[in-house]
Amino acid sequence: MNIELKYTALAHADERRVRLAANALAAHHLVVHASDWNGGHCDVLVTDSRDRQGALALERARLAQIPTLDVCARDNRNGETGASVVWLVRSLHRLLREQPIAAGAEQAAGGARRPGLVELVIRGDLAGQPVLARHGSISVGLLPRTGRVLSHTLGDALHARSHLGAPGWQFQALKDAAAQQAPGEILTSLDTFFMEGAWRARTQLPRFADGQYRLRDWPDLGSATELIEVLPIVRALLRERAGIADIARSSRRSEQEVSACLWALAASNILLGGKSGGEYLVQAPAPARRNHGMWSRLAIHFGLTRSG
Amino acid sequence: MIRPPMEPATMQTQDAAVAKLVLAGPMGAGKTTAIRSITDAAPVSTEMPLSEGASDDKDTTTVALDFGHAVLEDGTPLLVYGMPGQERFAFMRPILLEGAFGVVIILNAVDEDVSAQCEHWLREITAIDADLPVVIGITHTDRSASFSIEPVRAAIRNSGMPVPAFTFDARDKQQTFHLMRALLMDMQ
Ligand SMILES: Nc1nc2c(ncn2[C@@H]2O[C@H](COP(=O)(O)OP(=O)(O)OP(=O)(O)O)[C@@H](O)[C@H]2O)c(=O)[nH]1
Ligand SMILES: [Mg+2]
Repeated sequence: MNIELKYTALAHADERRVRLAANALAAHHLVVHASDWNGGHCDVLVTDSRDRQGALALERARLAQIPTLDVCARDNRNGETGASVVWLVRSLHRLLREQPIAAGAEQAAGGARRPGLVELVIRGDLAGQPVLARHGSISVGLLPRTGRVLSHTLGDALHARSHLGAPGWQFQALKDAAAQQAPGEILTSLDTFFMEGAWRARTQLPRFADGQYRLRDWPDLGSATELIEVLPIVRALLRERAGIADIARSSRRSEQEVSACLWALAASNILLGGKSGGEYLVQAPAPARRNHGMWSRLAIHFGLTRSG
Repeated sequence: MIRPPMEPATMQTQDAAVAKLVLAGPMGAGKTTAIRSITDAAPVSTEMPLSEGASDDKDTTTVALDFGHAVLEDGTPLLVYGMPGQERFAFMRPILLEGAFGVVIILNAVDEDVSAQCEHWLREITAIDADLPVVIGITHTDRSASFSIEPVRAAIRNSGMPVPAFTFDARDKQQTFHLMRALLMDMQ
Protein backbone atom coordinates (compact mmCIF):
# COMPACT_ATOMS: atom_id res chain seq x y z
CA MET A 1 0.00 0.00 0.00
CA ASN A 2 1.28 3.48 -0.92
CA ILE A 3 1.15 5.98 1.91
CA GLU A 4 1.70 9.74 1.72
CA LEU A 5 3.35 10.79 4.98
CA LYS A 6 3.88 14.51 5.48
CA TYR A 7 5.74 16.31 8.24
CA THR A 8 5.98 19.92 9.32
CA ALA A 9 7.52 22.04 12.09
CA LEU A 10 9.92 19.28 13.16
CA ALA A 11 13.41 19.74 14.56
CA HIS A 12 16.06 18.67 12.09
CA ALA A 13 16.91 15.47 14.00
CA ASP A 14 13.24 14.49 14.28
CA GLU A 15 12.75 15.04 10.58
CA ARG A 16 15.62 12.64 9.85
CA ARG A 17 14.19 10.01 12.21
CA VAL A 18 10.73 10.34 10.61
CA ARG A 19 12.28 9.63 7.20
CA LEU A 20 14.11 6.61 8.63
CA ALA A 21 10.92 5.36 10.24
CA ALA A 22 9.03 5.84 6.97
CA ASN A 23 11.56 3.59 5.21
CA ALA A 24 11.46 1.06 8.03
CA LEU A 25 7.70 0.67 7.57
CA ALA A 26 8.45 -1.31 4.40
CA ALA A 27 8.95 -4.26 6.76
CA HIS A 28 5.19 -3.98 7.40
CA HIS A 29 4.48 -3.93 3.64
CA LEU A 30 3.78 -0.22 3.76
CA VAL A 31 5.41 1.93 1.06
CA VAL A 32 5.65 5.30 2.73
CA HIS A 33 6.66 8.48 0.89
CA ALA A 34 7.73 11.12 3.38
CA SER A 35 7.92 14.79 2.45
CA ASP A 36 7.21 18.33 3.69
CA TRP A 37 3.53 19.22 4.21
CA ASN A 38 2.09 21.87 1.92
CA GLY A 39 -1.26 21.98 3.70
CA GLY A 40 -2.89 19.54 1.32
CA HIS A 41 -4.39 16.15 1.96
CA CYS A 42 -2.19 13.23 3.04
CA ASP A 43 -2.51 9.92 4.86
CA VAL A 44 -0.70 10.94 7.99
CA LEU A 45 0.89 14.13 9.30
CA VAL A 46 3.80 14.12 11.76
CA THR A 47 4.48 17.31 13.66
CA ASP A 48 5.57 18.77 17.00
CA SER A 49 2.88 20.51 19.05
CA ARG A 50 5.49 22.37 21.11
CA ASP A 51 6.11 24.44 18.04
CA ARG A 52 3.43 27.09 17.32
CA GLN A 53 3.36 26.19 13.63
CA GLY A 54 3.16 22.55 14.62
CA ALA A 55 0.21 23.19 16.93
CA LEU A 56 -1.61 25.09 14.17
CA ALA A 57 -0.87 22.27 11.72
CA LEU A 58 -2.37 19.77 14.17
CA GLU A 59 -5.58 21.85 14.37
CA ARG A 60 -5.77 22.14 10.63
CA ALA A 61 -5.15 18.42 10.09
CA ARG A 62 -7.78 17.52 12.66
CA LEU A 63 -10.31 19.72 10.87
CA ALA A 64 -9.39 17.97 7.63
CA GLN A 65 -9.69 14.58 9.36
CA ILE A 66 -6.06 13.71 8.59
CA PRO A 67 -4.52 11.23 11.08
CA THR A 68 -1.73 12.94 13.01
CA LEU A 69 1.28 11.95 15.08
CA ASP A 70 2.67 14.43 17.57
CA VAL A 71 6.34 13.70 18.34
CA CYS A 72 5.86 14.99 21.86
CA ALA A 73 2.81 12.79 22.52
CA ARG A 74 2.50 11.66 26.12
CA ASP A 75 3.30 8.03 25.39
CA ASN A 76 6.62 9.02 23.88
CA ARG A 77 8.89 8.54 26.92
CA ASN A 78 11.75 9.98 25.00
CA GLY A 79 9.65 13.10 24.30
CA GLU A 80 12.11 15.56 25.78
CA THR A 81 14.90 14.63 23.42
CA GLY A 82 12.66 14.04 20.42
CA ALA A 83 11.11 10.88 19.02
CA SER A 84 13.09 7.68 18.67
CA VAL A 85 12.93 5.78 15.38
CA VAL A 86 11.53 2.71 17.16
CA TRP A 87 8.73 4.73 18.74
CA LEU A 88 7.98 6.41 15.41
CA VAL A 89 7.77 3.10 13.54
CA ARG A 90 5.53 1.59 16.20
CA SER A 91 3.25 4.65 16.41
CA LEU A 92 2.99 5.11 12.66
CA HIS A 93 2.26 1.45 12.12
CA ARG A 94 -0.48 1.49 14.76
CA LEU A 95 -1.93 4.73 13.36
CA LEU A 96 -2.00 3.49 9.78
CA ARG A 97 -3.49 0.15 10.79
CA GLU A 98 -6.22 1.93 12.72
CA GLN A 99 -7.03 4.04 9.67
CA PRO A 100 -8.24 1.56 7.10
CA ILE A 101 -9.55 4.48 5.06
CA ALA A 102 -6.49 4.04 2.83
CA ALA A 103 -6.81 7.68 1.94
CA GLY A 104 -4.12 7.18 -0.70
CA ALA A 105 -6.26 4.69 -2.54
CA GLU A 106 -9.29 6.94 -2.16
CA GLN A 107 -7.35 9.85 -3.60
CA ALA A 108 -6.18 7.75 -6.52
CA ALA A 109 -9.84 7.09 -7.22
CA GLY A 110 -10.30 10.86 -7.13
CA GLY A 111 -10.85 13.11 -4.13
CA ALA A 112 -13.68 14.45 -6.27
CA ARG A 113 -15.80 11.57 -4.96
CA ARG A 114 -16.20 13.29 -1.61
CA PRO A 115 -19.01 15.80 -1.06
CA GLY A 116 -17.81 19.16 -2.43
CA LEU A 117 -18.08 20.85 0.95
CA VAL A 118 -15.90 18.17 2.58
CA GLU A 119 -13.33 18.28 -0.20
CA LEU A 120 -13.08 22.05 0.14
CA VAL A 121 -12.47 21.91 3.90
CA ILE A 122 -10.01 19.03 3.64
CA ARG A 123 -7.93 20.86 1.04
CA GLY A 124 -5.84 22.74 3.58
CA ASP A 125 -4.06 24.55 0.74
CA LEU A 126 -7.33 26.37 -0.06
CA ALA A 127 -8.07 27.53 3.50
CA GLY A 128 -8.94 31.22 3.55
CA GLN A 129 -8.12 31.59 -0.17
CA PRO A 130 -10.37 32.91 -2.92
CA VAL A 131 -11.44 29.80 -4.81
CA LEU A 132 -13.03 29.12 -8.16
CA ALA A 133 -15.44 26.22 -7.61
CA ARG A 134 -16.83 24.26 -10.55
CA HIS A 135 -19.61 21.73 -10.64
CA GLY A 136 -20.65 20.60 -14.09
CA SER A 137 -21.15 23.70 -16.18
CA ILE A 138 -21.68 25.96 -13.16
CA SER A 139 -18.88 27.98 -11.57
CA VAL A 140 -18.91 30.24 -8.55
CA GLY A 141 -16.23 32.32 -6.87
CA LEU A 142 -15.87 31.68 -3.11
CA LEU A 143 -14.35 34.74 -1.46
CA PRO A 144 -13.72 34.08 2.24
CA ARG A 145 -11.83 37.35 2.81
CA THR A 146 -14.91 39.41 2.03
CA GLY A 147 -17.46 36.77 3.03
CA ARG A 148 -19.11 36.76 -0.39
CA VAL A 149 -19.98 34.32 -3.18
CA LEU A 150 -19.73 35.53 -6.75
CA SER A 151 -21.83 34.04 -9.55
CA HIS A 152 -23.21 34.86 -13.00
CA THR A 153 -26.80 34.49 -11.89
CA LEU A 154 -28.65 33.90 -8.65
CA GLY A 155 -29.68 30.56 -10.19
CA ASP A 156 -26.01 29.52 -10.46
CA ALA A 157 -25.42 30.31 -6.80
CA LEU A 158 -28.53 28.35 -5.82
CA HIS A 159 -27.51 25.38 -7.99
CA ALA A 160 -24.03 25.37 -6.47
CA ARG A 161 -25.46 25.66 -2.96
CA SER A 162 -27.80 22.73 -3.41
CA HIS A 163 -25.02 20.49 -4.73
CA LEU A 164 -22.49 21.12 -1.95
CA GLY A 165 -23.24 17.68 -0.54
CA ALA A 166 -22.62 16.03 -3.91
CA PRO A 167 -19.29 14.82 -5.33
CA GLY A 168 -17.80 15.97 -8.63
CA TRP A 169 -16.50 19.40 -7.63
CA GLN A 170 -13.30 21.00 -8.81
CA PHE A 171 -11.62 23.71 -6.78
CA GLN A 172 -8.88 26.03 -7.86
CA ALA A 173 -7.24 28.78 -5.80
CA LEU A 174 -7.53 32.22 -7.39
CA LYS A 175 -4.85 34.87 -7.27
CA ASP A 176 -6.24 38.07 -5.81
CA ALA A 177 -6.26 39.78 -9.19
CA ALA A 178 -8.10 36.83 -10.73
CA ALA A 179 -10.58 36.85 -7.85
CA GLN A 180 -11.75 40.24 -9.08
CA GLN A 181 -12.69 38.61 -12.36
CA ALA A 182 -14.20 35.49 -10.84
CA PRO A 183 -17.48 34.52 -12.47
CA GLY A 184 -20.29 37.04 -12.68
CA GLU A 185 -21.33 40.00 -10.64
CA ILE A 186 -24.04 38.60 -8.37
CA LEU A 187 -22.71 38.68 -4.82
CA THR A 188 -24.33 36.89 -1.92
CA SER A 189 -23.31 35.88 1.59
CA LEU A 190 -20.69 33.12 1.78
CA ASP A 191 -21.73 32.02 5.28
CA THR A 192 -25.36 31.67 4.19
CA PHE A 193 -24.26 29.79 1.04
CA PHE A 194 -22.30 27.19 3.00
CA MET A 195 -24.80 26.94 5.85
CA GLU A 196 -27.81 26.42 3.59
CA GLY A 197 -25.84 23.91 1.50
CA ALA A 198 -24.57 22.00 4.54
CA TRP A 199 -27.99 21.95 6.19
CA ARG A 200 -29.62 20.59 3.07
CA ALA A 201 -26.89 17.92 2.78
CA ARG A 202 -26.68 17.14 6.49
CA THR A 203 -27.55 13.46 6.08
CA GLN A 204 -24.91 13.02 3.35
CA LEU A 205 -22.03 14.66 5.22
CA PRO A 206 -19.64 12.61 7.36
CA ARG A 207 -19.37 13.43 11.03
CA PHE A 208 -17.06 16.40 11.57
CA ALA A 209 -13.73 15.64 13.27
CA ASP A 210 -14.02 15.40 17.05
CA GLY A 211 -12.43 18.32 18.82
CA GLN A 212 -13.19 21.50 20.73
CA TYR A 213 -14.66 24.26 18.60
CA ARG A 214 -15.86 27.80 18.92
CA LEU A 215 -16.73 30.93 17.00
CA ARG A 216 -15.36 34.40 17.51
CA ASP A 217 -17.68 36.19 15.08
CA TRP A 218 -21.32 35.68 14.23
CA PRO A 219 -21.64 34.13 10.77
CA ASP A 220 -23.58 36.28 8.29
CA LEU A 221 -26.83 34.31 8.10
CA GLY A 222 -29.06 37.30 7.28
CA SER A 223 -30.61 35.70 4.23
CA ALA A 224 -30.78 32.17 5.67
CA THR A 225 -34.30 32.93 6.87
CA GLU A 226 -35.37 29.28 6.87
CA LEU A 227 -32.51 28.12 9.10
CA ILE A 228 -33.91 29.01 12.50
CA GLU A 229 -32.55 25.76 13.98
CA VAL A 230 -29.00 26.85 13.22
CA LEU A 231 -29.17 29.91 15.48
CA PRO A 232 -28.93 28.02 18.82
CA ILE A 233 -25.97 26.03 17.47
CA VAL A 234 -24.20 29.25 16.49
CA ARG A 235 -24.94 30.78 19.86
CA ALA A 236 -23.56 27.73 21.67
CA LEU A 237 -20.33 27.99 19.66
CA LEU A 238 -20.04 31.69 20.50
CA ARG A 239 -20.58 31.11 24.22
CA GLU A 240 -18.13 28.29 24.85
CA ARG A 241 -15.46 26.13 23.38
CA ALA A 242 -17.05 22.72 23.13
CA GLY A 243 -17.19 19.35 21.42
CA ILE A 244 -19.94 18.12 19.09
CA ALA A 245 -21.89 16.25 21.78
CA ASP A 246 -21.85 19.23 24.18
CA ILE A 247 -22.95 21.67 21.50
CA ALA A 248 -25.76 19.29 20.52
CA ARG A 249 -26.88 19.11 24.15
CA SER A 250 -26.80 22.85 24.85
CA SER A 251 -28.48 23.80 21.58
CA ARG A 252 -30.95 20.89 21.72
CA ARG A 253 -30.12 19.87 18.17
CA SER A 254 -28.81 16.53 16.92
CA GLU A 255 -25.10 15.79 16.57
CA GLN A 256 -25.66 15.37 12.84
CA GLU A 257 -27.04 18.93 12.66
CA VAL A 258 -24.14 20.30 14.72
CA SER A 259 -21.71 18.46 12.48
CA ALA A 260 -23.30 19.98 9.34
CA CYS A 261 -22.93 23.46 10.84
CA LEU A 262 -19.26 22.79 11.64
CA TRP A 263 -18.58 21.79 8.02
CA ALA A 264 -20.21 25.04 6.85
CA LEU A 265 -18.36 27.24 9.36
CA ALA A 266 -15.04 25.55 8.57
CA ALA A 267 -15.64 26.16 4.85
CA SER A 268 -16.32 29.84 5.63
CA ASN A 269 -12.99 29.84 7.47
CA ILE A 270 -14.48 31.31 10.65
CA LEU A 271 -14.47 28.18 12.82
CA LEU A 272 -11.79 28.16 15.49
CA GLY A 273 -10.30 25.07 17.05
CA GLY A 274 -9.77 24.80 20.78
CA LYS A 275 -6.17 25.87 21.13
CA SER A 276 -5.47 28.78 18.83
CA GLY A 277 -6.16 32.40 19.79
CA GLY A 278 -7.17 33.79 23.15
CA GLU A 279 -9.92 36.11 22.01
CA TYR A 280 -13.03 36.89 23.96
CA LEU A 281 -15.97 34.61 24.15
CA VAL A 282 -19.44 36.10 24.09
CA GLN A 283 -20.72 36.82 27.52
CA ALA A 284 -24.27 36.20 28.51
CA PRO A 285 -26.16 39.48 28.93
CA ALA A 286 -26.60 40.93 32.40
CA PRO A 287 -29.36 39.00 34.18
CA ALA A 288 -31.20 42.21 35.05
CA ARG A 289 -31.90 42.70 31.36
CA ARG A 290 -33.66 39.44 31.00
CA ASN A 291 -37.38 39.61 31.25
CA HIS A 292 -38.20 36.07 30.34
CA GLY A 293 -41.91 36.55 29.79
CA MET A 294 -41.33 39.39 27.35
CA TRP A 295 -38.50 37.53 25.64
CA SER A 296 -40.75 34.53 25.03
CA ARG A 297 -43.51 36.67 23.58
CA LEU A 298 -41.06 38.40 21.24
CA ALA A 299 -39.49 35.07 20.27
CA ILE A 300 -42.91 33.72 19.29
CA HIS A 301 -43.79 36.90 17.43
CA PHE A 302 -40.61 36.83 15.33
CA GLY A 303 -40.82 33.09 14.69
CA LEU A 304 -37.80 32.06 16.77
CA THR A 305 -39.89 29.74 18.94
CA ARG A 306 -43.39 28.37 18.67
CA SER A 307 -46.14 29.14 21.11
CA GLY A 308 -47.36 26.50 23.55
CA MET B 1 -54.10 53.60 16.81
CA ILE B 2 -51.29 53.83 19.30
CA ARG B 3 -49.73 57.26 19.29
CA PRO B 4 -45.97 57.56 19.72
CA PRO B 5 -45.51 58.54 23.34
CA MET B 6 -43.37 61.66 23.35
CA GLU B 7 -43.02 62.24 27.08
CA PRO B 8 -39.96 60.51 28.48
CA ALA B 9 -41.98 59.39 31.51
CA THR B 10 -44.46 57.49 29.40
CA MET B 11 -41.63 55.79 27.52
CA GLN B 12 -40.74 53.66 30.51
CA THR B 13 -41.37 50.14 29.36
CA GLN B 14 -39.69 48.38 32.27
CA ASP B 15 -43.12 47.35 33.47
CA ALA B 16 -43.14 45.10 30.42
CA ALA B 17 -46.60 46.26 29.43
CA VAL B 18 -45.07 47.25 26.11
CA ALA B 19 -42.05 46.02 24.19
CA LYS B 20 -39.94 48.79 22.78
CA LEU B 21 -37.40 48.43 19.97
CA VAL B 22 -35.17 51.13 18.54
CA LEU B 23 -33.63 51.24 15.05
CA ALA B 24 -30.51 53.36 14.62
CA GLY B 25 -28.07 54.08 11.82
CA PRO B 26 -26.98 56.56 9.20
CA MET B 27 -29.21 58.41 6.77
CA GLY B 28 -30.69 56.31 4.00
CA ALA B 29 -29.65 52.94 5.45
CA GLY B 30 -33.20 51.60 5.56
CA LYS B 31 -34.60 52.35 9.01
CA THR B 32 -38.01 53.52 7.84
CA THR B 33 -38.20 50.55 5.46
CA ALA B 34 -37.27 48.09 8.23
CA ILE B 35 -39.94 49.56 10.53
CA ARG B 36 -42.42 48.93 7.74
CA SER B 37 -41.21 45.30 7.53
CA ILE B 38 -41.39 44.74 11.29
CA THR B 39 -44.70 46.42 12.00
CA ASP B 40 -48.14 45.85 10.64
CA ALA B 41 -49.09 49.38 9.76
CA ALA B 42 -47.22 51.97 7.70
CA PRO B 43 -44.89 53.91 9.98
CA VAL B 44 -45.82 57.30 11.27
CA SER B 45 -42.83 59.15 9.86
CA THR B 46 -42.03 62.74 9.55
CA GLU B 47 -40.71 62.25 6.01
CA MET B 48 -39.50 65.25 4.07
CA PRO B 49 -38.60 65.39 0.40
CA LEU B 50 -34.88 65.11 -0.19
CA SER B 51 -34.13 67.87 -2.63
CA GLU B 52 -30.40 67.51 -2.94
CA GLY B 53 -28.60 64.23 -3.49
CA ALA B 54 -31.83 62.35 -4.04
CA SER B 55 -31.23 59.02 -5.76
CA ASP B 56 -33.55 56.92 -7.93
CA ASP B 57 -35.09 55.05 -5.07
CA LYS B 58 -34.72 57.51 -2.25
CA ASP B 59 -36.52 60.80 -2.40
CA THR B 60 -37.44 61.39 1.23
CA THR B 61 -35.61 61.44 4.54
CA THR B 62 -36.99 61.09 8.02
CA VAL B 63 -36.94 64.29 9.99
CA ALA B 64 -36.96 63.77 13.74
CA LEU B 65 -38.87 60.54 14.29
CA ASP B 66 -40.14 57.30 12.84
CA PHE B 67 -42.63 55.16 14.65
CA GLY B 68 -44.48 51.95 13.95
CA HIS B 69 -46.27 49.38 16.02
CA ALA B 70 -47.34 45.76 16.04
CA VAL B 71 -49.14 43.59 18.57
CA LEU B 72 -47.63 40.46 20.11
CA GLU B 73 -49.70 37.28 20.43
CA ASP B 74 -50.91 38.06 23.92
CA GLY B 75 -51.86 41.63 23.04
CA THR B 76 -48.66 43.31 24.25
CA PRO B 77 -47.91 46.28 22.00
CA LEU B 78 -44.55 46.27 20.22
CA LEU B 79 -43.42 49.83 19.64
CA VAL B 80 -40.69 50.41 17.07
CA TYR B 81 -38.85 53.71 16.89
CA GLY B 82 -36.40 54.93 14.29
CA MET B 83 -33.61 57.10 15.60
CA PRO B 84 -33.08 60.11 13.45
CA GLY B 85 -29.92 59.65 11.41
CA GLN B 86 -29.01 63.29 11.39
CA GLU B 87 -26.53 64.46 14.02
CA ARG B 88 -28.62 67.52 14.91
CA PHE B 89 -31.15 65.15 16.49
CA ALA B 90 -28.50 63.39 18.62
CA PHE B 91 -30.05 64.90 21.75
CA MET B 92 -33.09 62.66 21.27
CA ARG B 93 -31.14 59.40 21.40
CA PRO B 94 -31.03 58.81 25.18
CA ILE B 95 -34.72 59.60 25.41
CA LEU B 96 -35.53 57.14 22.67
CA LEU B 97 -33.40 54.35 24.15
CA GLU B 98 -35.00 54.59 27.57
CA GLY B 99 -36.75 51.31 28.33
CA ALA B 100 -35.94 49.65 25.01
CA PHE B 101 -35.32 45.87 25.04
CA GLY B 102 -32.87 46.12 22.15
CA VAL B 103 -31.41 48.14 19.31
CA VAL B 104 -31.03 47.32 15.64
CA ILE B 105 -28.18 49.27 14.02
CA ILE B 106 -28.79 49.49 10.29
CA LEU B 107 -25.77 50.23 8.09
CA ASN B 108 -25.58 50.82 4.35
CA ALA B 109 -23.12 48.63 2.42
CA VAL B 110 -22.81 51.33 -0.21
CA ASP B 111 -21.29 53.77 2.32
CA GLU B 112 -17.54 53.79 1.85
CA ASP B 113 -16.86 53.63 5.56
CA VAL B 114 -19.29 50.94 6.76
CA SER B 115 -16.87 49.80 9.46
CA ALA B 116 -16.34 53.35 10.75
CA GLN B 117 -20.14 53.78 10.79
CA CYS B 118 -20.40 50.52 12.69
CA GLU B 119 -17.91 51.64 15.32
CA HIS B 120 -19.57 55.05 15.56
CA TRP B 121 -23.06 53.66 16.18
CA LEU B 122 -21.90 50.98 18.60
CA ARG B 123 -20.09 53.71 20.56
CA GLU B 124 -23.15 55.98 20.48
CA ILE B 125 -25.42 53.25 21.83
CA THR B 126 -23.05 51.87 24.47
CA ALA B 127 -22.26 55.36 25.73
CA ILE B 128 -25.95 55.73 26.56
CA ASP B 129 -26.54 52.18 27.80
CA ALA B 130 -23.69 49.66 27.81
CA ASP B 131 -25.96 46.67 28.54
CA LEU B 132 -28.43 47.18 25.74
CA PRO B 133 -28.65 44.14 23.39
CA VAL B 134 -27.67 45.16 19.86
CA VAL B 135 -27.79 43.56 16.44
CA ILE B 136 -26.26 44.95 13.23
CA GLY B 137 -28.04 44.69 9.89
CA ILE B 138 -26.27 45.73 6.69
CA THR B 139 -28.52 46.72 3.78
CA HIS B 140 -27.87 47.46 0.08
CA THR B 141 -25.27 44.69 -0.32
CA ASP B 142 -26.99 44.02 -3.66
CA ARG B 143 -25.77 47.42 -4.81
CA SER B 144 -22.16 47.16 -3.65
CA ALA B 145 -19.64 45.03 -5.53
CA SER B 146 -16.84 45.78 -3.09
CA PHE B 147 -18.65 45.14 0.19
CA SER B 148 -16.74 43.00 2.67
CA ILE B 149 -18.11 41.75 6.00
CA GLU B 150 -14.62 41.47 7.48
CA PRO B 151 -14.05 45.18 8.36
CA VAL B 152 -17.46 45.20 10.06
CA ARG B 153 -16.44 42.16 12.11
CA ALA B 154 -13.17 43.87 13.00
CA ALA B 155 -15.10 46.95 14.17
CA ILE B 156 -17.36 44.74 16.28
CA ARG B 157 -14.34 43.02 17.85
CA ASN B 158 -12.79 46.43 18.57
CA SER B 159 -15.94 47.55 20.31
CA GLY B 160 -15.62 44.61 22.72
CA MET B 161 -19.34 43.97 22.17
CA PRO B 162 -19.55 40.75 20.14
CA VAL B 163 -22.93 41.42 18.57
CA PRO B 164 -24.42 39.62 15.54
CA ALA B 165 -23.93 41.23 12.12
CA PHE B 166 -26.17 40.08 9.25
CA THR B 167 -26.48 41.37 5.70
CA PHE B 168 -30.16 41.76 4.86
CA ASP B 169 -32.63 43.63 2.69
CA ALA B 170 -34.84 45.93 4.76
CA ARG B 171 -37.61 45.59 2.16
CA ASP B 172 -37.82 41.86 2.87
CA LYS B 173 -40.06 41.06 5.83
CA GLN B 174 -38.61 37.57 6.37
CA GLN B 175 -35.02 38.85 6.40
CA THR B 176 -35.94 41.67 8.76
CA PHE B 177 -37.65 39.15 11.06
CA HIS B 178 -34.55 36.94 10.88
CA LEU B 179 -32.39 39.84 12.04
CA MET B 180 -34.73 40.19 15.01
CA ARG B 181 -34.28 36.46 15.74
CA ALA B 182 -30.50 36.97 15.92
CA LEU B 183 -31.03 39.83 18.39
CA LEU B 184 -33.29 37.66 20.54
CA MET B 185 -30.95 34.65 20.30
CA ASP B 186 -28.07 36.79 21.46
CA MET B 187 -30.12 38.10 24.41
CA GLN B 188 -31.10 34.68 25.68
N1 LIG C 1 -31.41 47.95 -3.13
C1 LIG C 1 -31.74 47.95 -1.86
N2 LIG C 1 -32.51 48.94 -1.39
C2 LIG C 1 -32.83 48.90 -0.08
C3 LIG C 1 -32.38 47.91 0.79
N3 LIG C 1 -32.85 48.17 2.03
C4 LIG C 1 -33.56 49.31 1.93
N4 LIG C 1 -33.57 49.78 0.66
C5 LIG C 1 -34.13 51.03 0.11
O1 LIG C 1 -33.31 52.08 0.60
C6 LIG C 1 -34.02 53.31 0.57
C7 LIG C 1 -33.77 54.11 1.84
O2 LIG C 1 -34.44 53.53 2.92
P1 LIG C 1 -35.12 54.36 4.13
O3 LIG C 1 -35.90 53.33 4.89
O4 LIG C 1 -35.81 55.56 3.66
O5 LIG C 1 -33.83 54.80 4.93
P2 LIG C 1 -33.77 55.55 6.34
O6 LIG C 1 -32.71 54.88 7.14
O7 LIG C 1 -35.11 55.64 6.96
O8 LIG C 1 -33.23 56.97 5.89
P3 LIG C 1 -33.34 58.40 6.68
O9 LIG C 1 -34.74 58.51 7.18
O10 LIG C 1 -33.03 59.39 5.62
O11 LIG C 1 -32.32 58.37 7.74
C8 LIG C 1 -35.46 52.92 0.35
O12 LIG C 1 -35.80 53.25 -0.99
C9 LIG C 1 -35.50 51.41 0.55
O13 LIG C 1 -36.48 50.79 -0.26
C10 LIG C 1 -31.54 46.87 0.25
O14 LIG C 1 -31.07 45.95 0.93
N5 LIG C 1 -31.27 46.95 -1.08
MG1 LIG D 1 -36.23 57.17 7.47
